[in-house]
Amino acid sequence: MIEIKNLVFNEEEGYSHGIDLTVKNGEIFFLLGKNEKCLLTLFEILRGFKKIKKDKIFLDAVDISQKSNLPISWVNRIENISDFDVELTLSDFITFICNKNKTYKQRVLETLLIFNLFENRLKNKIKHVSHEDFKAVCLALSLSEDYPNIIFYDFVRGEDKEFEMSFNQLVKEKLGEGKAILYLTQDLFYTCQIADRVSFIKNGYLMPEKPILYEDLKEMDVMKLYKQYLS
Amino acid sequence: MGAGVLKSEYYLKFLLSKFNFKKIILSSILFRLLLLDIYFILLILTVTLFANLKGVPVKINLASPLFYFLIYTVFFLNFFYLAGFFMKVLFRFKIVATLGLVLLWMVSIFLIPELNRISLSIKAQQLPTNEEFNLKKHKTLMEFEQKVRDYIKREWDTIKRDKNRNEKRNEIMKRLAYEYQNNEYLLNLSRELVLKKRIERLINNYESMSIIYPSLYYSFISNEISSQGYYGYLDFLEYILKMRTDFLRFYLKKRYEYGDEKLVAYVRKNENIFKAKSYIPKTFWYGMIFTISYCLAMFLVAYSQLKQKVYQT
Repeated sequence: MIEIKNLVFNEEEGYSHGIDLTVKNGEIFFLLGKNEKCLLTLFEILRGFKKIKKDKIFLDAVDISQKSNLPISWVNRIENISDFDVELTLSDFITFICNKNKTYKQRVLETLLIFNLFENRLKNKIKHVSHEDFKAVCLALSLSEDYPNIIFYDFVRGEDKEFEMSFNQLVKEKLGEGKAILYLTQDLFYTCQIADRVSFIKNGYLMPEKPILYEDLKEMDVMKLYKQYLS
Repeated sequence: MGAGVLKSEYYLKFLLSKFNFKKIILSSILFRLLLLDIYFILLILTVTLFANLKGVPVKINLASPLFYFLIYTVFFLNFFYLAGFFMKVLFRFKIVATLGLVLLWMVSIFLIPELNRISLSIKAQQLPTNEEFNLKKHKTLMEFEQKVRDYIKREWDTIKRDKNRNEKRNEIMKRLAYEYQNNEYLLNLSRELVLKKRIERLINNYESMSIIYPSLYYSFISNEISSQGYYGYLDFLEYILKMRTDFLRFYLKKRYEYGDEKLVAYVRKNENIFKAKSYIPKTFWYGMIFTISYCLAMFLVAYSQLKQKVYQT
């Protein structure tokens, strides 16, 4: 379970007057915001890359605000393959990141099967693989430790439907395993597909007061929601 | 290569979700550096081995300077590797870091050594010029010759009247020659030794200046190891001064003591060929300490800056 209490920050890129939210085990919680940089700042704060004073982040009722090694899988958006060591093959990259841990590597290969990425395709160099394939590998690597909590930052934005469907299948599997998932995004349409609960950050406040449940979300007019919270 | 190790800030953050900061830096920066060093050392050893096999033996007396040179070269290369890492962090992973690194390289390899050379050349101008120096020596010689001429003029009648005039003449010539050896020659020699001392001081000063920057010291040490340096030059000066003094003694002895009339060569075989030695500069360890300090300073500053940047506090 992920629990954030009174998370206040005031950075150049965005601010918050206090975020309180709880993501239960087996639930995917979508946090949407108009300001992309504000969401990224929030993601960085949660990851521990930005230190702020008044934050409380709980995992299974344990305050982890000051800890750096958290039982959370962090999945960031992959924008540029050239940010990585493109001369490596996918297989070498996996071996390097898994640090010779066979269980992790096995888990990565299992995850890649969902994306139809078989071992023979892992022999290609990163610079020669498609963006989707590389993204799938990064996702699989991020989830290799099998932590009970996952935080995504706008991961599927801009991807084709096939990738999105595979990703959704993976998310459902993880939810079935009882993991708590927090997903930060701007994409309201994607949110409507798989969210269990939804909240918005607007002007530094979390809206509406109580998160919107999936059942209610289905009945709501997306355009109206967009205009109310994201425009 | 140091700049290329950490591909991007994004990649570093990706790695940080898997490994801790210290481990990434140790494995990515330092371990790679260690591997590169081992590779370089093995490469040099292999080249040396093949040179030996193909008939260019590395003599025992050369092995020690070459070993020290190899150690210094490794640290000199480490300096640029860590400078790459330092620049990458300093310019926050931007493309301008590469430009900064090229600039640093140019400054290190061309500008700083050139400035040091200009500084040496300005200091060297305070030494008397060869013309001035030789004229001074020449004047002493001329004065001596004048003295000899005056003396002979004065004593000419006495010599002419003497029955053993040849012996008398020889005796006078011998006395004058030894007088020259003990006075004018020594005066000129002392002038040359003073000049040598001044040159030595200049070289010491240049060596001390070279210590403070790795590319300067690398250039200094490579000249000394390859026997083209200033230590060799000072040796050469000493060699020719000694050879000339010895020759003068030899000549006077042969001419006036033994009365040898047969012409013999003073220099035999390759005695007139000066073989400069390879030297390990006496400041070697100071140079090493400075270079290692640069490396450590760049690494520590880059490490702390990177940590601060990633974990923005």
